[in-house]
This record gives sequence, C-alpha cells and structure tokens, in this order.
Amino acid sequence: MSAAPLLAVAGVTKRFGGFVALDQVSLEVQRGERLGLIGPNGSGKTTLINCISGTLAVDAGRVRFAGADITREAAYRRARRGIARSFQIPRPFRSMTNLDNLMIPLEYAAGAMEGETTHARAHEILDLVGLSGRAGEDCGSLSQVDLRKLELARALAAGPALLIVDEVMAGLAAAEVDEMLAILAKLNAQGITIVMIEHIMRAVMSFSERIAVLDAGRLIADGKPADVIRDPLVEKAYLGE
Amino acid sequence: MRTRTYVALAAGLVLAALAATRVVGNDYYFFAGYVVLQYVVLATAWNILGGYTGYVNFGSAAFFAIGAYTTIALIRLAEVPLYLSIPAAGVVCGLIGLAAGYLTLRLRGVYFAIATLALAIVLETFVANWDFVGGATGSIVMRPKEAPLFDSYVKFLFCVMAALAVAAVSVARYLETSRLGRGLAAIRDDEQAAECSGVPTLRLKLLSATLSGALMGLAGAPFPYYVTYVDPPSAFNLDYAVNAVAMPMVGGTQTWLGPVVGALLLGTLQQVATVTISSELNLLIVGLVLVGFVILAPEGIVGQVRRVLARRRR
Repeated sequence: MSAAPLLAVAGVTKRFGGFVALDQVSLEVQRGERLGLIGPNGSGKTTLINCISGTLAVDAGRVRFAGADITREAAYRRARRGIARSFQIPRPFRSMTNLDNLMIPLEYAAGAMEGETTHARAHEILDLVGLSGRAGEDCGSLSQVDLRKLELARALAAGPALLIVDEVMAGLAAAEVDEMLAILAKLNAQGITIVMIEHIMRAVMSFSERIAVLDAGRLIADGKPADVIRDPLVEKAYLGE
Repeated sequence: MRTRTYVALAAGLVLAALAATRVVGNDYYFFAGYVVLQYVVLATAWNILGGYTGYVNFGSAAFFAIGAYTTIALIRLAEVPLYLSIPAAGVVCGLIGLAAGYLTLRLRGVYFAIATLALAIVLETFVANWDFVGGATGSIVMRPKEAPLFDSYVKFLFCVMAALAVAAVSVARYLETSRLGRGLAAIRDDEQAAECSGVPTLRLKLLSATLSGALMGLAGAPFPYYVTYVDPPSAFNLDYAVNAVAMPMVGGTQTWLGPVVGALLLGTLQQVATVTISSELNLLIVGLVLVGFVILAPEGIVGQVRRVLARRRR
C-alpha cells in the first residue's frame, strides 16, 4: 500500500493583523506515528493545531487529512473525519456532568446513539483516563489535573484517528506524567496517531518517535528526538546565542 | 418528570382551563390569565435561544409584534381566520429568526444582545411605515361576533393561549432531553469546544433562533383579537422584551420549568399590580425582582430548589 501521510500540512501561513504566527509551515504525520511538537512560548504550536483542527482559517497553504483536502472545512466536519484535540486550558462543558461531557463527542462526532452501549463506552473512556467512579459528578468539582484528564477523555470520545494533545501534562506530578504517557502509548498501540505538544521535555523525548520544532512561526527542525535536541538551531531557539 | 406524567399533567391543565371557562363567569380572570399564559409562551421561546443556547435576545418584542401583524395582514388580505393565522405567524417569525440569526449569530455576548435590540427597532420602523397594516396610526380588528363552544370571545382566546403554552413548553421539554438540546447546551458552555467535538454550531444556533422566533410569533398571533386595536408602540412594547428575558432568569434558565415558573410568578404579580396599584409599576417590579434574583439566586427559582434538594440528599 502507499505510504500516504494521515495528515499533510503544506505551506500553511497564518497572520493576526501584521503578526505572522505561522510562516509557510509544512509538516507530515504518518499513520500510527507519535509526533512531538515543541518550541518556545509564542512559537505558533497552538496556532498550528487550531489550523489543523479548523478553529482558525489559514491565510495560505493547504491541510490534507486521510487523502482529502480539508483546508476550508468547518471544525465540526474535521472532528467527524477523525481529528480530535484537547485544549491547552481545559474547556469543559461546565453545566454538564463528566459523563455528559463525553456524550457530546460520542453523539456528534463518533455518531453513537444515546443509550446503554454509548453510556458504557463513556464509562470505559473515563476509566481509561483515571476518572472512574466520577461519571455522575459535575465537572465543576474536578481539580485542574482531573480537568486535563477530562479534556483527554472528551477528545477520545470523538473516536479519533488523529489525536492532538495540547499540554495535557502541564501541572501533573511526575507519577501522573508517567501514567498519562502510559495511557497515550496504549492509545497509540491501538492505532491512534498522536501529535503531542508538551513542555515537559522528559515526556516528549521519551514518547515521540519524531520531533518537530517551531520557532517564531517557522518550522526549524524535524527529525529523530536525539538529532533534533543536538540541532544548533533548536538550541539557539531555546537558549539564545 | 416522566413523559407519561408530563403528558397527563399537560392534558389536565388544558382540560382545567376549558372547565374553568364553564364554571367561572367573570371574564376578567380570563382577560388577565391570557396575558400570563402569553408570557409563558414568550418566556419559554426566549429560553430556547437564551437559556439553552446562551444567546441573549433583547428583540423578543419584535417577534411578538410580527406575529400580531401577520394576523392583521392576513385579515386585511383575505379575512383569514385565527386558526390559520397562528401557524402563519409561526412560519413568518421562524423565517425572521433564521434570517436574523444568520446576520447576528456570529456576534457573541452583549454584542448579540445589542444587535437583536437594533433589529427590533428596524422592524418597528418598517411596520410603522407600512400603511397596509395601519402604519403608525395602527389598526382596529373586529372580533368575530361569537366563538364556537364558548360564551365569550375572551374565554375562547384564553383557551387558545393555554393550548399554545402547552405546545411551547412541550417543545422546550423535548429539546432539553434530546440530542439537539445537548448540542445547544454544549454551545452555551463553550462554543469552540463544542465545534471541536463535532457539534455543527452554526446550524444548531440557526435552528434554535428559528424555533425561538417561531414560538414568539405564535404568542403574538392572537394579540390583535385580544386588544382589538394594535399600533406599533403597543405591539413592539419594551414590556415584552424585558419580561421575556426576566421571566426565565427569575424562574431558572436550565430547564423548561424555569420560564414557566418565572412567567406565572412575574406575570401574575404584574396583573395584580395593574389592578391594585398601576400598570406603570410593572417594569419597575420586574426590574427589582430581576436584580434581586441575579444577586441572591442567579440560577433562578428552579435552580435554587434543585441545589437545596441535592444538598439534602447528600
């Protein structure tokens, strides 16, 4: 079979007024891959994710997913195609219980019907991220760490082929980071392609098969973790001259 | 509440309204009751867009008025009877809701509210300059000499409004527990997260605006027969816009019961005040109650009761 990439971003540019947030970024993600996306604050990582998931429209360039051009597609259609993301700052549906938070993507993105089996699936996902037994609670009662787990759970409920996690480990204790890495590795083993944005270098380095580095809206490196970390450009981006 | 219980209760209320028209002789009670029920419809309609979807509409009076003017236009056009002008008003106002939604739903929060207020003013100006429906001088509507099965026309209108109220509340109740209703709640909580979870936000918002507008139109359709004289200031009255916002807020915006409780409470209070003190006080009462609730019980009566019950259960 052909080795067509699952996701192909080609020459994507995004401007906010005069500020160029993304400048001709091209990036491919293969099926089943674990890609780490790193870069200093303000380098455009989240903007790139927004352009991939469709919450922002690109000014130039194309985005292809599973062979289809999705550049002009609405975000909800992309979610239905199998692109799921978590938000850097958790954005739960605050009036709902944890279970209902998962019912939204289950019903709207994964096409499940309300009922026993869908509820069972939601419980399964909550178990997976470590929120078992809290399905009926309002999400307002969750701690910041648990809210991040809920973010991940909600993204998973959409039944993604591509999962983009935006700093899902921020604020987690070392043991919890390992726990989260184990969950993500398990999902990857099930065939889900994962793009991880993360500042915890230990986590990105150990998890990623490949790392892409953004700096000031430009892709400055893309390769094996060990090579990328030694790249003088990357070093300069992080530490300065 | 189980669906069977709800249906029984709704049917019981309509039957009670019918029975009341047989037992109670004084027309005044039906005259006042009509207004309260009309507010049940308006508040419930507002809550579909305002409470469920999170978009505050300050132009409710315009939808109500267009509903009333649809009836007038149809009478002028071909003596169309009320039972046909009610659904027609629903369709017209639904379409206006759709069009207005398409223009304004890109705006969020207070900007959306301002846009709806502006829309109401534009529509009022339009109607005031449309001579066919009476323009600024208004128009007089002749009630039919008698209503079939009823000994007075007000009693008949009261029962019509009771049926509309039950219909509107049933729609809201269905929405609340449906997939559609969950989608609207997701939009209210976080529109971007909803979109990324596969919710077609624009389509759902338009649907919500259409439904909300249509129900407001239904509330306005019998109005010309009720007052028999309609002019733009009375139909586009600020009272409707303010009450449509205040009643759900006071009753609670999260459930179908909230707007009903709010409308019954504030509507009755205003009717009592109109008789005992003065109708000029109505908006003041609404304003004070609303301020009180926003400070003391922001989740409204239903929300507050639920919270207390949940705490007791724990």
